[in-house]
Amino acid sequence: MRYAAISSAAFCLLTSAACKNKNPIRLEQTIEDSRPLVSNLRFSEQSRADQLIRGFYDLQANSWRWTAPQFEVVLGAPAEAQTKGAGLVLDFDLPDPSVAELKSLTVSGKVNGLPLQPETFSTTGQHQYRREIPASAFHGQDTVVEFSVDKYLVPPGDGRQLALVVSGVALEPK
Amino acid sequence: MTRAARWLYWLAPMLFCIVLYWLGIMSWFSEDDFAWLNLRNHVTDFHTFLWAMFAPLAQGTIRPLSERAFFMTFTYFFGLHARAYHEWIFANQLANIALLMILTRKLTQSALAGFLAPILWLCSVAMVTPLVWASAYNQVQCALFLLLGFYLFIRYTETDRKGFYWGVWAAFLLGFGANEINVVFPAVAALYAILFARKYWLRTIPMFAVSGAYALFHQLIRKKTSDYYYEMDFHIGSLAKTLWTYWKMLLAVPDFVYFQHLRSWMGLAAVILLSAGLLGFVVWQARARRFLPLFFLAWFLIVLAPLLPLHNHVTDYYLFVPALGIAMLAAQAVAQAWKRGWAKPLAVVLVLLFAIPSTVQTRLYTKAMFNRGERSRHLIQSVAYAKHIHPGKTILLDNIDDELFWDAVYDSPFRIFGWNDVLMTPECLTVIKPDPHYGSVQEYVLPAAAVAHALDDGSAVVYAVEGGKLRNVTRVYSAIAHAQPPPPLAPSIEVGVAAFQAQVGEGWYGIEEGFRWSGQRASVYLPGPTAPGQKLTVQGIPAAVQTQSGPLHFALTIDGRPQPVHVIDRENPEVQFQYDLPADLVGKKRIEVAFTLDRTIHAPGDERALGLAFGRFSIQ
Repeated sequence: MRYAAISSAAFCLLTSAACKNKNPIRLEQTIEDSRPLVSNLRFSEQSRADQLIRGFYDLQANSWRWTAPQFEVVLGAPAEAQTKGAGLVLDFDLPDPSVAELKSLTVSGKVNGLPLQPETFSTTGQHQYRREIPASAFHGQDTVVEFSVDKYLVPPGDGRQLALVVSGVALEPK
Repeated sequence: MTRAARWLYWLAPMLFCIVLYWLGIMSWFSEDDFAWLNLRNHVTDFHTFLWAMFAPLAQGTIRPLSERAFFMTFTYFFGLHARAYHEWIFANQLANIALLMILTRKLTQSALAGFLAPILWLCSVAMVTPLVWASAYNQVQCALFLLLGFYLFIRYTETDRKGFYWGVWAAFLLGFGANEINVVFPAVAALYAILFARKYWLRTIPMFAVSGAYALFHQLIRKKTSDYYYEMDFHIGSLAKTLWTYWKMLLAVPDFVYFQHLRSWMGLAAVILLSAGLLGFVVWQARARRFLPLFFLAWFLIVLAPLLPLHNHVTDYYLFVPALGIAMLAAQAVAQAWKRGWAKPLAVVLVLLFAIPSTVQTRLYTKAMFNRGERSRHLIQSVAYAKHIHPGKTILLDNIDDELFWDAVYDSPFRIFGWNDVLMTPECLTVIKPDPHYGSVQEYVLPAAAVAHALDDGSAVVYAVEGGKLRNVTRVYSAIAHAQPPPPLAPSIEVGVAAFQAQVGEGWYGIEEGFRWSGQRASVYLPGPTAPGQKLTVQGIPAAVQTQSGPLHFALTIDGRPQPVHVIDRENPEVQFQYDLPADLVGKKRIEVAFTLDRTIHAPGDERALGLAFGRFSIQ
């Protein structure tokens, strides 16, 4: 009985090893997401988080994110942006602690490297940073939009640099 | 003992091993595994087979059985299907457990000690790496040969049968194929003979000669390699410090205390208690002229001794074989205590003081190592899929963090499949912490200029690591790249890689399998040096064919300035030259590097006038 068990185990081992493995590695499907980029990015739409390039912290309450002092998104250019231009809108909120401590914050932007006029905000509540973008700033279907903020909070015990509470950014057609 | 109880007695420690290290069986590859998995690809004939089996590799070690033969055989049959590797490792470990039980029972004459020894050994954190990481299989195999050789030696002393003695020799010699710490076997056998079978100690002398010769040979090989992590320090202070570190590591309580955020004195107190228990038992028994506990303690020290000088490489899995001695010692101590009623509670407390923290830490480390393997698996299997659906394209990996780089990219797993064009994006450099002892991270990155070119002509696809998946982010990445100012030229280019096309000037033929032929005159464009004193290195394929009809003269200009002419001939067919760069070129955005040959050759059936095959041009 003992020898039969040992022989069976040896046989199984040898037969399993007898033929060379034809597929040396398993293939694991990648995410080949070829959806067009949206031009109106609401942060509640988690599935488009791939359009957030850098400077965003985790999604909160399914609708907003804290940003770092520099943050960046890629948006789809609206139809006819290359001929008519478009409008840029950044929707954000300034919470009480930010205004209490920082007094005012200046937001500036760049669209495909083109600098935009900065704007200073000094009241709590919802705000919009809104700018007209000339047609010359659009080179193709995808548009990189960079923002920077001059001041930020660093809560004690939290290594993050908190600048704005942003809920969305959009390029609006003209 | 009934038949069922007997089965349970022998199988329980093995089941304990499987349950405790189940994730080890399921784990994937990481780090050095990939270098070993690629070894078979270097074998093209008998000569290269001998090289692959016996050349000093990985810090100058030669482990033909546990590394070379193991990985080459398993890659042939199983490719990168890790389960087969780990099943083999576990089968070996179950054999180790059986041998440990047999040995401990024989030496201590206690069934309880025979049962406890493997349990205590398995609790140790020293088990984790060898049972989870295939590259550390050498420890498991080394334990097998040491235990087997020692068992046969005991049988020889018991029976005086020559067959056992030759068996000892076979196990001893095979042990060198597993791990170099096998050199300690004669010391273990000799000490046993001196203590318990004195007339046999002389029979170990020839083995000392073999170990000495091996140690000398290994040391000579090691001198040819210089590695910070394997630097040796023989000062008493350093050796004692390393021993103390290993001792604390083996007892695991200090690490447990740290991870559980307990007070650090608790860890030290536990180490003192456990040490006092073990050493007290050794002294107590030795005073009664019972030297078996002393022998077990000596096993630990003898096997660990060759590893103590490696003060920069103190690692848990080096305790795998030494820990056998402490497991046998502790098991015997418990078995003795069990015979004395008053000592039972003390034994139970000490066993629990060791076993609970050790098992908790063992589970923690096993899970962490398993997870690292899983990240490697997801990355490499996903790249395999990406190569499958984007044949011929360069795969650029983005969002590779420091841990993933060292676990799954550094040892070039993609070369196992012949993919030399799987690289990281330049952004990855910002999160990877370079280690000066492991070379430059730059060679794993496609420079920004080459990335921009590859994205423009569609020859590259960019994938970002997102959790356990790879996401194709080519479009977003391209958009960002286009929004940035044009990147500077790459200071190091491979003319045989399409992504560097923008820096390849006139005079070149098409790309052929990673290289390009030049004509009589050819040029490339590089950025100027970033600091004075940097040099230009030109690297091509040795010109064995071109020099058959006489020497070849290689004249190079750097931004129009002629440099010394090099002669390439049959004696020196190598095409590797270095030039000083003029200081006034520092900071220049673009310089032209051009060369001219005094003649070309024609290959049969090929109308092209061929100069030299390149190669790399780099400024460093």
